[in-house]
Amino acid sequence: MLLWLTHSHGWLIDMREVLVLGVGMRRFGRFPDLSFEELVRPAVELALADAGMSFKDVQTAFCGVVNSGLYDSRRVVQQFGWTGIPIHSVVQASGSSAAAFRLAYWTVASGIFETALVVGYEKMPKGMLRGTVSPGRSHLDVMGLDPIPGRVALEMKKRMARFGESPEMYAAVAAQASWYAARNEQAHYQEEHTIEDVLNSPMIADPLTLYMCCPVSDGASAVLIASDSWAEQGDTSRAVKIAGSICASPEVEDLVGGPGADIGGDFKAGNLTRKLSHRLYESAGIGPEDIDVAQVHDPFTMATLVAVEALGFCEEGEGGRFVAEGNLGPKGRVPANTDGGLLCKGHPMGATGTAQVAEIVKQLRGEAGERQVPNAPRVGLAQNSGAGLINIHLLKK
Amino acid sequence: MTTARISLEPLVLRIGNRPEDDVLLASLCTRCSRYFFPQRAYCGACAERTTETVELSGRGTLASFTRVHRKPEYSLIDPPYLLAEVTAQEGPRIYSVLVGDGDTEPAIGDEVRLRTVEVQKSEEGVAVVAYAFARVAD
Repeated sequence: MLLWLTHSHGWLIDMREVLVLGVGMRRFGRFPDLSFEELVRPAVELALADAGMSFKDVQTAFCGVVNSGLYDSRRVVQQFGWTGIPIHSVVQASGSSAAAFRLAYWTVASGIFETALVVGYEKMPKGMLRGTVSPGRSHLDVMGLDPIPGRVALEMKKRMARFGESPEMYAAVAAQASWYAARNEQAHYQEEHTIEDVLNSPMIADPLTLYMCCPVSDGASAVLIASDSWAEQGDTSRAVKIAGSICASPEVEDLVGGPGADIGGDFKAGNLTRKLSHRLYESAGIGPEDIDVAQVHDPFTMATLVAVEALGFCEEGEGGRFVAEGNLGPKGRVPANTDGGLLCKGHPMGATGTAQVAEIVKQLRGEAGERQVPNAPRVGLAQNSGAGLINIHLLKK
Repeated sequence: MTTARISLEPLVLRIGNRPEDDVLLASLCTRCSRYFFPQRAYCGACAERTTETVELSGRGTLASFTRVHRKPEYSLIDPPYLLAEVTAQEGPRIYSVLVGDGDTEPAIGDEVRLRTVEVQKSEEGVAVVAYAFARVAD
């Protein structure tokens, strides 16, 4: 299978086929009393059972996590057995386990290992998301320039001026996500929020309200993958094929204002998502119109609009209207964030990437219950952004 | 006698003899003429060590603004405060607090200018100074 791995140096590689055999989730929420092992255990157990695999079948493991101690990644994996396998830990902000999944996929697809376990887990600190690591000594901290909700609100104001978007459109994104979350027993928020509920929730940074932001959640998710030749020793009737996974870091055009962490500008205009999804579609021989279900990175409602435009589901500047018209709903043109998204399912950073993959897999298998996308979806896409680094995966039944 | 003043971040803000002499520092690539704020040793576009430190004029326009209602951890600024994105005259984007009289609501495109503010006093009575922007109209 010929695949693009990134766009910047034209790397087109012949990879072998890899299948997702199992997925598992722990409900996202607040679990201050759980250890990381306890947090992760049910997610991995569910994934192993789902795949019909034993931990002894796992040849390597990749963890995605941000806030964790020195030994935690090893412990969350080795609680299932000291089998001596290589274990890797990826720290990539909100994209940690999206990157872990992609590395696991590349590793199996290139023939190094036959199977891999990918685990995402996180216990989130309280308060607004921020990017710095040297607290209290910089303009960024002292002058209150760092909170990501503030930076997102600045972009919302620009989009309102440029495209005529309204706070109601931003609220419609959250309302749609909550509709799905209310039908997902693993989501942090279990109730539906109307557009009015979202608009009337506390103001964080105008026009961004509390319900336009993801909640502060803990959680874990796991995915098991295998080469098709290894998988074919068993039952592959429920397996989902990985049809591509692509990533890149921001380019100089995506530089955002200073001072501070050089986060990329993809949250502003989706330039990197646009370039990468184009490559991904190209190597799969499909177009955006062929995507039956999508998970896009939506820690704030504006990110959904940027993503649906950049992925080619609608024209630039049309995202607000596209969502308000119900196109991400179960009967819309591209049902998206069908597990409630980061917005309502929750966003324990390290656990998000593998949770997105888990939801696509459930949808493609037709096992998503009340929130199942109709007409047997066959092609799913997960787009994730971590510190400006974009990972996009394409999955096919 | 004037109070001693020091910069919160000397690589970002250079303190002058008087507050009106304070300047923001940036990098200019001698090869491709791009400006970067804050400073960086390597040009982001050329990926070479071709930058030199330059002073910004401190003039710019308001690209966007929002009123932040929560207090970020470690911040010495009390909410609600105006967070702004300024397009410097030389090109780079600068995140800043917007200070001023606040009699009228700002608008995207308003002209703004550097206005440094004292954020802390050390035990020795030295003023720690940070950068902010204010509308020219204020």
